[in-house]
Amino acid sequence: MPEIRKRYDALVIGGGITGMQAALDLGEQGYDVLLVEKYASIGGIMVGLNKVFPTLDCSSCICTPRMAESSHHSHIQVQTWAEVLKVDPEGDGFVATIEKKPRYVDEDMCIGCSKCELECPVDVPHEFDQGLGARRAIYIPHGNAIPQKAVLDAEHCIFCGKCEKVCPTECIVFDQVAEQVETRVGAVIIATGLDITPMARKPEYGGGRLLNVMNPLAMERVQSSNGPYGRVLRPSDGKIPRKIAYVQCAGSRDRSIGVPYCSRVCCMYSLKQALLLRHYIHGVEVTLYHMDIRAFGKGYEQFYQRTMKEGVRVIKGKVATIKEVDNNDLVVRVEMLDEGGRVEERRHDLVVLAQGLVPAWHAHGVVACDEASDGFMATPEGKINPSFTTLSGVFVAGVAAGPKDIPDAIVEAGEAAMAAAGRLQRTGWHKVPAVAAAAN
Amino acid sequence: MGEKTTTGKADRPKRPIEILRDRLGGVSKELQASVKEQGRIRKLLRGALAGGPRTVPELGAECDRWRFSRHGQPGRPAHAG
Repeated sequence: MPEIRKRYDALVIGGGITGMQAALDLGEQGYDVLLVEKYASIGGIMVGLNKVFPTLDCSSCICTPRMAESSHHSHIQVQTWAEVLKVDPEGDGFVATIEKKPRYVDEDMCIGCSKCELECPVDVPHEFDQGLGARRAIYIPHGNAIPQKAVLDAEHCIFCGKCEKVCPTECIVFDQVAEQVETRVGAVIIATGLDITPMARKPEYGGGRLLNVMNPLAMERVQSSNGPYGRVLRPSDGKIPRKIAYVQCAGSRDRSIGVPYCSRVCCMYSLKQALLLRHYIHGVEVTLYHMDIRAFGKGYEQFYQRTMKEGVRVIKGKVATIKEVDNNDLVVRVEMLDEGGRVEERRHDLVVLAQGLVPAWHAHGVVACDEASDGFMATPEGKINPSFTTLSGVFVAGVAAGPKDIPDAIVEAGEAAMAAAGRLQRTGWHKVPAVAAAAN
Repeated sequence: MGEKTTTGKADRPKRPIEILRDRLGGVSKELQASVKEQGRIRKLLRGALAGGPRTVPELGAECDRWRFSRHGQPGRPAHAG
């Protein structure tokens, strides 16, 4: 892997679909970009999704070409397993301090053969599979990971040394340490993406406590052909679920948990997953309990109608509690809003909580940009310059600025890239290649 | 007779893996217990599969607990948000 240079035109924080798109849009115009990703692979949330709505295209089939393009682009340098610690204004640009976390593997020598992970005796819940599957203490993040390089999770290592013995290129480096690097950039794009609302905030729904109450990303992995089970099974006993419920607004539009806003994508991803469940499991009964369905995008309303035509039950009802009964089955207590508020208890094999979106990263202490009251980055000129933050030269795109779907995030990435390019031209930061090379 | 030199374990320089282990405070008791439990479950699964193929629910029933649900902390699902 090339070392981080002393100067770039732009720094993109976050290697998900938004960050990659912003980096590509700048790189295509000839700007040198440093793309920093905190995980061991770029791709973000999208590479772990099953399919995208409303077209039901394979998500990783769309995402992985972007990943490959970003990593091979002559104007983009990808730095995974690293975090941006500080971005300080300096002259027309910024000084960024980046910490490269130790992989304990020499990236230049690792050939991604997986021999180390096959030999490792420790199983660890796999973050990529939302903890439903396992990885080893030394592992390649997933099959589509870029770079295809191993990383050692020292926290779960038992220091048996088997990986070192089996490695054909002797690339395991146990004495690697974290390294801080400073670089100068002319513009910064924040594309740090999302987390889902923590389940613990809704204890009455049993999230994080009941085995068969799942988060939506876990359901994405379960539905994926490269998921932890290879087919749809419920976590408690591995049986095929026959009655599945979706609880909408389980982590959004709820002041009691500090998420008063609509997360914009939950209705659609729930409808998509529900429809796919009808395709994957013969005769499965899928019910969505919702306050109202918000299908606002291009082709979304048609997708909603199609979902209902294909047998998904959509019921206007507010779920109060979810309780576990015998056989780890679940009883959902729901107020039927279309039936005068009648309270009913319904039994299901599996419940998916349509959790909302919260920011995955906070600027506080890293870069002097304000956050809005909802925790996402503030965009004071939201109507005309939606990527502008409160600090000139720092731009934001994707869910870091607020909940949105993939097409909107990609559009915003392009907008942020254009705004950054404009600044680089105005300030004269962008130099012709020969001058830039001399500066480095 | 020359003096016998000691070449004990304490005398040799530490290997990088040992330095890293010391730096991170060694292997925790929880991790040791978890690795032991994984070994036990693997043995159960191998035993259950010795007689021929089994479905996942059958394996779950035979092995007492379904392996993949056991990766979380005790009493807590692994897929908690």
